[in-house]
Amino acid sequence: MMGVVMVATVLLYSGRENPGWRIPAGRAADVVRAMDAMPEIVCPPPTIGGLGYTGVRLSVKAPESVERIWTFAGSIAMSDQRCFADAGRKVERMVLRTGRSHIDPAVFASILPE
Amino acid sequence: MPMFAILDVFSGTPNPAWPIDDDLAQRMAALGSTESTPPALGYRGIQVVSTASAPAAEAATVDALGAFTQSVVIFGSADAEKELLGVGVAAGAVNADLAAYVTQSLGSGPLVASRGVTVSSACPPCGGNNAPTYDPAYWNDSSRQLVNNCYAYTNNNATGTFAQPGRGSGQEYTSLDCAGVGAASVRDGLVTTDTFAACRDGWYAALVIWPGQDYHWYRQDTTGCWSHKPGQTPARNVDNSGAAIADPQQCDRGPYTVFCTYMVTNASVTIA
Repeated sequence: MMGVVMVATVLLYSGRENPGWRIPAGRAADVVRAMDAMPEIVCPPPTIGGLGYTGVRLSVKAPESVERIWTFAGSIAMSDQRCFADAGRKVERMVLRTGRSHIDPAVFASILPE
Repeated sequence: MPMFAILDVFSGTPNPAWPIDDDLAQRMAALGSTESTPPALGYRGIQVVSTASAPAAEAATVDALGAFTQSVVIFGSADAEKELLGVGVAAGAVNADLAAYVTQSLGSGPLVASRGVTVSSACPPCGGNNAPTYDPAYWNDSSRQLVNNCYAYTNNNATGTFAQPGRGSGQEYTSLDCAGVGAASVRDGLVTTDTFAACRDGWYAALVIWPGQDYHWYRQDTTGCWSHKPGQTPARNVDNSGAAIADPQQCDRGPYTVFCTYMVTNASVTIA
């Protein structure tokens, strides 16, 4: 995972900028391994989201490759118009936990209850 | 022979289907199939079909219809699609999320069911003499969607700066409450008002607050209904429950539970 830059953005606010952070290299490697294990599925019809928490956007940039944007929303992960099953929101939760200090504690508790 | 509508939208699971009356089926048949080319994935139109085997009074999915004969495919005729979709919602065959997605695909306006069934609140008269047209394609373009928020959308000014109340007039808000954000927007040139009933220049906006977390704005379009753009997500004309927005004070706003005020904005308001 040397050189992989992984930046997460919580899709949360409407007016304010959304919280975002760079995931540390060690944690990024865990996230990549978890993402690699997700099975590809037929994409469901898109939902248009709404106000409040709607998911996490993840930018993944490896050396000498193009940036890939992932969106984790519920049990679905999407990238490059392909969809994958994120069973139990495992990867979404993993990404969120790397940014706990960047998210308001009350909001964090509401979107990722213990 | 029983007539059904089939919402052609899914790839894996069976598409929703619901019965329609002969009058509606005949009016759709009179339109004829459109020549528009639907996308490969997502919403692809509404088929009108006849079948001899399915019970006419129950909503169903397409796999429950048995053999059927297609009459027409309605795609690219928004009014007709909304009418068919409204019947599907009223019949329970199309849930709110799916209806919201299809409505978004169609463009502006609430769902209207036939035979007087009200699916969503009717739009009130538009009081803003310069109200913007609901045009999600403009705002949801890849060059604009991620860099424009609710405040830019409400003021119909795609600054590309994730515009903040007060920044355009030199003093951004300092507290995330009605007083703080409201005052900042007044410095930018918006004007508070108690209602949105009167006809006046500019167009109506509405400010709401997620206490201690964030603010959000709605705007009234030429249709009389309201639309909004939640942060980096697409502009839409439905609330968190997928319903058309006749009044932002009454709609489902998710965590933005505090309604602050209606306001009036116009093209000369300065935002940044």
